[in-house]
Parts: sequence; structure tokens; C-alpha cells
Amino acid sequence: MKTDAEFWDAVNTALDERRDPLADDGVQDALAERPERLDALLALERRLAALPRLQPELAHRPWLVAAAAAAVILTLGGVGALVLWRLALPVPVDPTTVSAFDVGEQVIDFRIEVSRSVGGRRTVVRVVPDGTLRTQSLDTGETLASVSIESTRGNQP
Amino acid sequence: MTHEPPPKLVPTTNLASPSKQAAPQGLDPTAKLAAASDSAPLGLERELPALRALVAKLAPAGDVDDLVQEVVSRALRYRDTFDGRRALGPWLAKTALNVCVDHRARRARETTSHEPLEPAAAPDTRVEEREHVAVLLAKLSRVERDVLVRFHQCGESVREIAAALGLAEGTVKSHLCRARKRLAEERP
Repeated sequence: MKTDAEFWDAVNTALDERRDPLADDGVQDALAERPERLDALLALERRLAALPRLQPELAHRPWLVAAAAAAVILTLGGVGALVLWRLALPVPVDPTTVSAFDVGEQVIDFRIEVSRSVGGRRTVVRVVPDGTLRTQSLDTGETLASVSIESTRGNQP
Repeated sequence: MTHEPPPKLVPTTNLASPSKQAAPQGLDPTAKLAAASDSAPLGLERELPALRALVAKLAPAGDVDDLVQEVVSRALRYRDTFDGRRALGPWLAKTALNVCVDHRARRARETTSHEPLEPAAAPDTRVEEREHVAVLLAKLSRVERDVLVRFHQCGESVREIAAALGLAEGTVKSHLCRARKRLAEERP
């Protein structure tokens, strides 16, 4: 007569070896002696088949968590570096669409002038390329305010 | 342990002895077979209800009659191996288990997928079963749950689980054993 413990030992051995417990001789002997054990075995089989498809709990794999975190950090860092590198590159220019005069063109002169007239008194502020700020006040009969910016582009300073 | 499946029986099988072929009318073919053959000393007829109940737990309803018939046929074929001093029920139950295991193997080959031995459950029953299992899993310890899922759902071996969790293989097997037993016996 097989005890319950012997029955479950035989069931577990078969399952550990990924065999069908019902095909195991020891399990069959135990079931033949006490067929009511079959209900528990079938319940186990049914419930094992219904186990949810969970990911194993990661807490037992700290190295896996660390590896995943490192992968994320490396990926984000790589993407960031790539973006910065791309921003630092000069904008590519198609040489066939640029005339010889355009090459190296830059601002060679500029002037900013701000005019403000209040109550017949006109004030003009000018900024010139050498950084000098010039102010001029005139008495006029008009009231106005204006700003003008002029720049000159070319190859020669 | 498994035997070559016998050919499907028909009521006119020649397993019966001529002197008893005329006996019981109104019985199903399996009962006729059991009664009409030289099985009287075995007492197969008395065991048929229990045999049918056992097979019904293991096979889809549509296959039960055929399988019971197959069990009786196999029992008659191998009756010489039966020790008359022992009870017939366990011997017949073991024969039935073998027939059902063979049946599952045949079906698995036909469908190339693993099917549970018990009759196919309705979708509602499966949902209920999953909810039930979720409740049972919550009652297990964290390591029992993890070991169980890794082995039976993720397909990891005992050795792989032991390495992943930093446990001895024997400890993993103990956790598996406890978890399965609780899964089998616990009620929600």
C-alpha cells in the first residue's frame, strides 16, 4: 500500500523530469489503490496549466536589474551624445548652388539706430561696429520713435 | 508500460465464447462484451460503473465509451496476468490509466500539442480556474511562487532556477514539491 507521501513523491519526481505523472508506474499503483487521489492530481494538472504567464520576480535577480538599468542608461547617453554631435556639425551646403561670391560671406558692417522724439526733443542713439555708443539730441517740433538696423554682408571687412 | 492499442471492438467480436453469445440483451456493447466473454470469473461487469467513472475523469465525454471498451478488451486480452487472489478493481484501474495515457499520446501526436487529460473545460470554467489559481498563488510564499512559475511556465530547469535564485537544487525541488501539493489540495 502506497502512502500519500509516496504518491506525491512519485508525482513530483515525474513532474521534475517533465514526464506525465499518470504514465508513471508508481503513480499508477497509488491511484489504483486509491482512485480518489486522482482528483487531487487532476486538480494539480489543471491548475498548472492555468498558471498565469508571469515574469519571474526580478528581486531574485539583482544582476538582471542592474544590467537592465545599465542598458537604459547607456542607450539614453548614446542618444544624447549623438544629438549633441549632430548639432555641432556645420550645416552641409550643396556646392553647386552657392556662387563664388557667397563663400565665406559674413557681416562686415552694421549700424543700429534708435530715435525717440518727445515734446519736440529728439534723441538718437547709434551703435557702430567698433562698439561705440553715440547719442545725439536735437530739438525738433515732432514726436516719433523709430528703430533701424542696417547690416552689410560681403567677403571683405 | 504502454501497450499496442487494440483494434476497435464491435459487438460481434469473436472474443465471446459461443455458449454465452446469446446472453444479455439491452446492455451497451461493452457490457455485452464483458458479460458474453469468458470474463465471468473476473467479474468485469461489476467493475464497469467504477471503470466508466474513472475514464470519464480522464477523457473527453465523447471518447469515454470507446475507451471503456478498450479497457475491457485489454483486460480480457491480458487476463492471464491477473492474480485472482487480489482485487480486480486496482488491476482494472491501472489498465484504464494505461489506456487513457495511450489515448492522450495518440491525440497529442495528432494535434501536435499537449492537451490536458481531463475533459476540455468550457471557456467560463477556464476563466474561473485562472482566478482560482491566482488566489492560490497569492497564498504561496514568494520563493515557492517564483520557483513554480519559472519551472512550469517559463520552462526553466531545476538547475537554472537554482542558479538564478542562488539556491541548492534540492531546495528548489522542495519548494516545487510544497507549491504543487498546496496547488493540488488548497481550496480558494
